[in-house]
Amino acid sequence: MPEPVLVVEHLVKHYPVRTGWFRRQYVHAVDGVSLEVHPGETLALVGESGSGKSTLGRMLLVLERPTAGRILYKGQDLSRLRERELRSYRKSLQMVFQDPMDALNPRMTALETVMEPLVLHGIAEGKAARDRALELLEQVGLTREHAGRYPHQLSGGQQQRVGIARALATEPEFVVFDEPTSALDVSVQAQLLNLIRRLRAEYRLSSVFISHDLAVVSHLADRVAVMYLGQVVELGSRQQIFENPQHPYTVSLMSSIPGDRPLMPWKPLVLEGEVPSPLNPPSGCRFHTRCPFADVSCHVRAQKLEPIEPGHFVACHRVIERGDYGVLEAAKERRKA
Amino acid sequence: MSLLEVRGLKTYFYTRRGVVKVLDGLNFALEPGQIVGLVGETGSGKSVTGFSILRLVRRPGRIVGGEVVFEGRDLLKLPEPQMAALRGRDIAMIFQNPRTALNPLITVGRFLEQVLHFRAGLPRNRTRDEAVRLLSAVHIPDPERRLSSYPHQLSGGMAQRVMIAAAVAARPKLLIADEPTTGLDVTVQAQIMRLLRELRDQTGTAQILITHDLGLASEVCDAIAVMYAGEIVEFAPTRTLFATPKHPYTRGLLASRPKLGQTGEIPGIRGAVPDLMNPPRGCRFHPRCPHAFTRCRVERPRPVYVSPDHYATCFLLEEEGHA
Amino acid sequence: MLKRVAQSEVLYRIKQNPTTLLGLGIVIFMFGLAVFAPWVAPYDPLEKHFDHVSEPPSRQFWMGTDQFGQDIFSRVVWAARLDLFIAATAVAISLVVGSLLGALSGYLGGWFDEMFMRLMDILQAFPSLILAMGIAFALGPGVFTVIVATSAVNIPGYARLMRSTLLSEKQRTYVLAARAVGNPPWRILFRHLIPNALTPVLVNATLHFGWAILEAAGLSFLGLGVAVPNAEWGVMINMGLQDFWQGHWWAYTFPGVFIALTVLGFNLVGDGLSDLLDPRRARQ
Repeated sequence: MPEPVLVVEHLVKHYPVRTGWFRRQYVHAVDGVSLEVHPGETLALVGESGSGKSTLGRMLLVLERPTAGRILYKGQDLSRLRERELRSYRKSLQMVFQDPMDALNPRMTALETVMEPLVLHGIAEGKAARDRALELLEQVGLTREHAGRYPHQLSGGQQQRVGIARALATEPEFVVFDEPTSALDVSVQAQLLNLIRRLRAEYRLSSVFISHDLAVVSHLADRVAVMYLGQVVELGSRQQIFENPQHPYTVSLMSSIPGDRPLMPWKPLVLEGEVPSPLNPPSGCRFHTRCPFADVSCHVRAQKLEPIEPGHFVACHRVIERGDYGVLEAAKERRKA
Repeated sequence: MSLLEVRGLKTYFYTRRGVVKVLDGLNFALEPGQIVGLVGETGSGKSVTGFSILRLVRRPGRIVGGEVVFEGRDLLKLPEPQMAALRGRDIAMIFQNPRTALNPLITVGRFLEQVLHFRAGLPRNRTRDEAVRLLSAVHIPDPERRLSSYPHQLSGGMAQRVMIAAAVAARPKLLIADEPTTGLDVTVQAQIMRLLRELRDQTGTAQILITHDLGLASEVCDAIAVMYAGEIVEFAPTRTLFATPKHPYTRGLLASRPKLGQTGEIPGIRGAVPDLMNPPRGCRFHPRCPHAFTRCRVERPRPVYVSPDHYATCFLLEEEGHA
Repeated sequence: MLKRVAQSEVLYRIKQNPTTLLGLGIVIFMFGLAVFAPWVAPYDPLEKHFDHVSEPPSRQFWMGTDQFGQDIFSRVVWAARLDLFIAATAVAISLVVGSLLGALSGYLGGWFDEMFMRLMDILQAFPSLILAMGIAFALGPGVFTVIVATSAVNIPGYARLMRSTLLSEKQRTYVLAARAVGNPPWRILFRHLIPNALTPVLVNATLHFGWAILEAAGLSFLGLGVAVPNAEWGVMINMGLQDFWQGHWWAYTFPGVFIALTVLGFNLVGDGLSDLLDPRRARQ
């Protein structure tokens, strides 16, 4: 197997928050995540709010400094570099953001936005930069007419196209897509997913795709990491995760996908309650407060990702030790039927 | 008799750049105890429909025509005081972003008790017990203690449950839910949907679920109206709609949603939603329709019934020999 | 800078709003007087007509003459030039210096921000006129003094406003995106943040223009600013009031009316602009 493009080891991010006059607590946004991204692959980070997937995404590009852990790109630990030293790496490591309107400078035209990285990294200047930017805009499906527009004069889909063109301008090696289509209408989302899929191949991108939407993930990802409260609870290839989910949380996420049911009636595993606050994550297994299968041991035993088959890891000692749950099996059987 | 019948509803927005015909002759009906989904993308007019039924359209919007017949009375002709009395009592509404709809200075308990006293007309000494009952009905754990919570202490899902409790306090006959789960986590979304369905099963409250998510609507709705550019382009029972969608837009919408396990190009809909200031002539969907022919560009299609409870506004169906 | 809302949009909304239009009319009129003073004024503002001392308004002297026989109308017109010049310069200086310092303070944060804001607190703790008087005493009277004093007094206001809008802009994703594509810090500040935080500051500047005129005239009225024979509205009121008991009302009334009108004009325009650029309104 070739060298991974990006390796993160034991990444941790804690934010201090003031909870009283003299008390200071920490939000455990990301708590000990280790991942690899291989050349040309798309690794999806899936989870609900509070899972830390966006924080992790930003840390991968050192837009957010980790509290602990390493981010290795070509053998270099990016987390130890100073901002100035990082700037040259930004050429190869790019990001597409969630809210396209907010992610574009309101006072820069589409063309100016796409030209900026070209000029900053000395790739092109003046007319050459302009031509290249226009070409990029065309590649993402925008016309010359759109080039002169300001963000508020573009639709949400068009804004995100500008965001994608900006990220691709420097021909990066690695791109983080942070919920790029979640703010958009379904028909626009479909167009953009197709676009991302096409450009990913054209630019030979390695990427991390962050999403809460499993259907979208199943469409784009090569591998999937399911996150819950700052930790990865299951990691595997797309087939492994979607056809053989093991962690109870993964299974419940699958059954929350709306719309597949009228034609595919299997009893959904609807969870009770909501994600606990990352300020005070539950002891033991963090999922135990909502897990329908939790027993006393889950309240105390911290979980570790362990392999259950090649490339497939689960952080649940009950799955690992006992193999499987009857209910999960049944649910999956019904799903296949 | 239908509980609600909307006939030829027209709501226009008078902006400086011109008149935006957001709703231009909308028709649909809702039976007692039925849940109907209004599904459409941005700019389809689905939210404006909800506001129009309650006559809460804000300037520069105005209802300029049509009828909204609720239990035999045309709401659009009702004097404002009677309409105000009807809101919240006979027809209630819940919104997206429940936390912004709650007054941050008032506890959940006081809020619910006020609603129960002023809307449902309950005497003061009974409101507290009823508030507790409502909170447990929407599955809020430890309802007694929750009464003293302030909105900022509630999670998004919890806040939406409180809003639902308040909405059903006066036992309305119709509940309009406008994107009630947008912005909530998927697992919480599923809980809220289950709650809405349960509510109908237990109290028989008819509901209009306004959403952009066809999949979500399929979870709870008995029938779905697909809206495009201010019109209902297809109306059918949920199963029928998913099994045999007739309108090209509905088909496109269904195809746009990536399916589990599907890879490769998603067969979506090309182009973008039209500008309602200058909507396309003829069928409003024709510029994006893969099957459009000459007639679609000039004539506006009428509903064609493929079965008594299933219609779509598309000339293709006439060609196929329906109607 | 206002390009985004600019052009037709702004003009249209100004037209919808008669008071803003009135304010704009006054402002344009005053600037007209200032620019065309030599052609508008019938006499030299310093020329003393010794046979027409303290005369009430007449056909020859539209606003009468003062105790030195100087034509009040000509002086009022020339004073428009001086006062607007002082105000414009003072506003420009406080705008540039204040918002630069405020932007830097908000962007850098940390101890610099802390120190700088405390300094601004101290400056703002003095009533502005007292502070201006202090500066004027130290520098001695003169046009330069008025400009320095008026701008110094207003710097903290601009700094604060710039800092607070910049802090809220800083939270937006485009700033992060700017970092992600590799912008160096200074470029994030000048290319991305400041242009987006500038709108409220510019609106504030229009509102302040009127106050700057009041402050400048006030200093001169107190004898700390522009020296006595010069044509300046504050100075003229001061001179006019010396003859208050003789009933020479025209000597102080006309400059007073001009000050009031100008301040009103700028305030109306400022209010109109802030309404206009209010994002909550602009969305509709």
